[in-house]
Amino acid sequence: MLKKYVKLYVKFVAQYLKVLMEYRLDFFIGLLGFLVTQGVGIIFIFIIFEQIPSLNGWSFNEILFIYAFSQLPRGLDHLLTDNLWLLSGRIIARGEFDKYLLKPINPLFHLLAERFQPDAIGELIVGVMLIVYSTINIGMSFSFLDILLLLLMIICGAVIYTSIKLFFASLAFWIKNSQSILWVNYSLSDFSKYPISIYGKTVRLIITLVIPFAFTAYFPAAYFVHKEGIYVAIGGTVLASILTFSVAYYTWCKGISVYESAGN
Amino acid sequence: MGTVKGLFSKEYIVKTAVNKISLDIKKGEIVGYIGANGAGKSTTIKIMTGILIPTSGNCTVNGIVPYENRQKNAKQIGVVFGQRTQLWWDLPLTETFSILKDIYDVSEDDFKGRMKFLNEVLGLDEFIHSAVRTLSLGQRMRADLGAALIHNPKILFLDEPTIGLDVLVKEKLRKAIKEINKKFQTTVILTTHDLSDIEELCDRIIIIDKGSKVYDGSVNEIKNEYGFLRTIEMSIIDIKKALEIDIAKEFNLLEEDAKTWICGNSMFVKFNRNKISVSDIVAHIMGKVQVVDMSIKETDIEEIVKKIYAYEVSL
Amino acid sequence: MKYLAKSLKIYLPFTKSIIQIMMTYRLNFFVSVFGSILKTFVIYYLWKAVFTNSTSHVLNGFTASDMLIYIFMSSITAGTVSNNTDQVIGEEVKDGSIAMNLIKPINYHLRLLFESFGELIYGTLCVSLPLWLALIAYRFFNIGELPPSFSTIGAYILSLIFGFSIMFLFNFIFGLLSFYVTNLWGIRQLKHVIINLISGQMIPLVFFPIWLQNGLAFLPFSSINYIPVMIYLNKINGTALIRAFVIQVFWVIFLLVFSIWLWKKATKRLTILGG
Repeated sequence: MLKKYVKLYVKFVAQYLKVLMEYRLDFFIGLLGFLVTQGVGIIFIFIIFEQIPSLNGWSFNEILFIYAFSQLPRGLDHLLTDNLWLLSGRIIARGEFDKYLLKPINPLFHLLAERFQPDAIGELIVGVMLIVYSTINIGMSFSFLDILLLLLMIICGAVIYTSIKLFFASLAFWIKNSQSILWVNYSLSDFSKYPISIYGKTVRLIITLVIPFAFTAYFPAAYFVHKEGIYVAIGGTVLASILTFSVAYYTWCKGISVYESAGN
Repeated sequence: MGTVKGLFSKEYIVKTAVNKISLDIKKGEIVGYIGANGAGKSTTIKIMTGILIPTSGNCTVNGIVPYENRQKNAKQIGVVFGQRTQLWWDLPLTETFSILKDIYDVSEDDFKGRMKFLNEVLGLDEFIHSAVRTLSLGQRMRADLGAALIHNPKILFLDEPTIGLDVLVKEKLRKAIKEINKKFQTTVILTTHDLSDIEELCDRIIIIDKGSKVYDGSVNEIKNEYGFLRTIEMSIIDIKKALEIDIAKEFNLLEEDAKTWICGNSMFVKFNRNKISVSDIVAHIMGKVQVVDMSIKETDIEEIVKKIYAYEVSL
Repeated sequence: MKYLAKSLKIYLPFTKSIIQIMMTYRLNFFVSVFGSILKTFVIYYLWKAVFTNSTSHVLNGFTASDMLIYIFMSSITAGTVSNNTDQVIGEEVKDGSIAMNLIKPINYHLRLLFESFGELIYGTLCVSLPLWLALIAYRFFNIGELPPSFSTIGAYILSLIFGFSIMFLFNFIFGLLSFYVTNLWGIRQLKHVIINLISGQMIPLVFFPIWLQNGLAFLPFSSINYIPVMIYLNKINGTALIRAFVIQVFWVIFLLVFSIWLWKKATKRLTILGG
């Protein structure tokens, strides 16, 4: 069963890449767009650190590390689940959702597999390069366990991103168009790129306990630079990913049953 | 939403009807389902395909309750929406079929055999390598039909499949549906506004109006019961002599039972065959003028359906 | 005078229709504004932390208090001068309806300008103005700070008008670029991010290295955001103020001429290729 889904997914992606080759220029522009967006963020950090030696105890390279780390779960989510934007903005509003219910495969899988957003490779490339750069500069050493933990954190972070997106996108089953809410949400995730100690209490509360973006970047990164303990950082991230996914998937299923009861 | 009753049998598809009417459809039947917009057609189709849950009552399709076992039901049905495609828009058509093969677990041999057959019947080869977004409407409909059949579903739901198509493509599509039905005994449920679809394809017709079933029977039955009107066209030499002929007056009938008129060199008589026979009319006219050619036309379904709607006749 | 009245009669309906559209989609609009406000807060918190972590009170002529106002005024200014002109042109090129504009006896520049007025009016009344008042109120009740003088506000508004015109003309030119590019979304994203940086929205331009500041002086973008906000902060006055206005006016004229020339070229291309 899992094998079938994996095989299907590979096929979906392969096909999509073929289409991509036709729109090469578009792809490069999109890629450039993301690269530049990341670049601007880095320039900002650079300029800040021309004024001060450290930010709330975080050095330039450590800030760079958390910034870089934040790109990876976000990029991964962006790469794989871009169709959720269309769900929130178009698919349900235009009554195009039926076809996902008419196939003998999980409708969420079908929806997500249909769209692959290679532009996000820009985020991933920048993230990886910056992580390597900053860890070398900080002089961090990674044991094998550390690397595994790192990968786990990136995956959990991506799950959190996707779950939050899935939750708000599913609201479209009730309100027809939830795309702008998704966009606000995306803006909220900007908070996770920097140490949360710079924020006021309310903001910290929101991004930790309500919409847990802090666990997509800050906490995992803080663990690796020894600014947060393992239980909060690693355990918290894993817990957050499980919780957010459960809430999101439940909302998605509920949304489908509402869709099936009301028709359109 | 009305109440729904169901019958269960391996060979029958239980159809949801509205207002406590149930039907059974035998395997391999081609059923036409007509009704005005808002009459309840889409609702019933959606229940049968599992994307809508009835508020009360139940429905089983070939032994499966569609909205409870959606994915299981999905394996045995094929659906074509006239207005929306289920194909992958940016990809060449071959890829859609390849992906569907995996989604429905179609074996390699079955896949090859069916692709060959669908190709012959739908002519897919001419555009199988093009991206779906470049296809014309007619090509897309043929492709959607093929895609709905690649897993050899037991039941095929067609929701307005010929909408917007030109006559030639409609013909091709209808022919394909007939052949598929013949070869695989696929049960076909077809909703349409195009009554010639019904006339050409369907063994049976169900008319639904305002959520109630208004007629359910074979197409022939409906023609016999309601299609009592015939029209004779006769080519006449010296048409001037025919001007005085008025069948209604001469046989003492109401205008609606025998209408006579002239157009060019032809004389037309539209008559109720229950009130007067063809032979009587022809004999009468031939007694007065010289008839050189003649043809008789039955009432078409469209008129019949209009009549049914107008009288709101129910079984 | 009569000509002016007649022109207004033709073009004002465009402004009205945009306002109506925005009112219909106001929920979406306000939610996106909220998203932008969130982003501004991130930048605010960052700068706040910079000042907390710094040994000196003043950085490049800015106190922490100045910076707060800068960040929020810069955000409000950016929202006020922004418009969708490039997107409108891009979509009309994509679906071919741009050709229709050659048939109608309506000046394309003016039509788009009046449409952007719709965005300006609605955005200013429903967002910029309330936000600005909130900022003033916050400052007054928290630290007893009075709003800037009328002359400062007047100078700011004048500068804002120039900034708006420059943004409009730049978007017009940028929109015409869409004749050559199909991924409009990506390019707009690129443009948005770059302008964000070099117009001073996130970082006052004085924080950039000197060579970059000098380079940017040759571009119109500082006139869109940085100059008006600095005027508001009273950091540009006297002769510097006059100079700033002159620079803005120069850019307005330059971009106007350039956009008219580009439009003529575009229409020629349209009529030859048939859209």
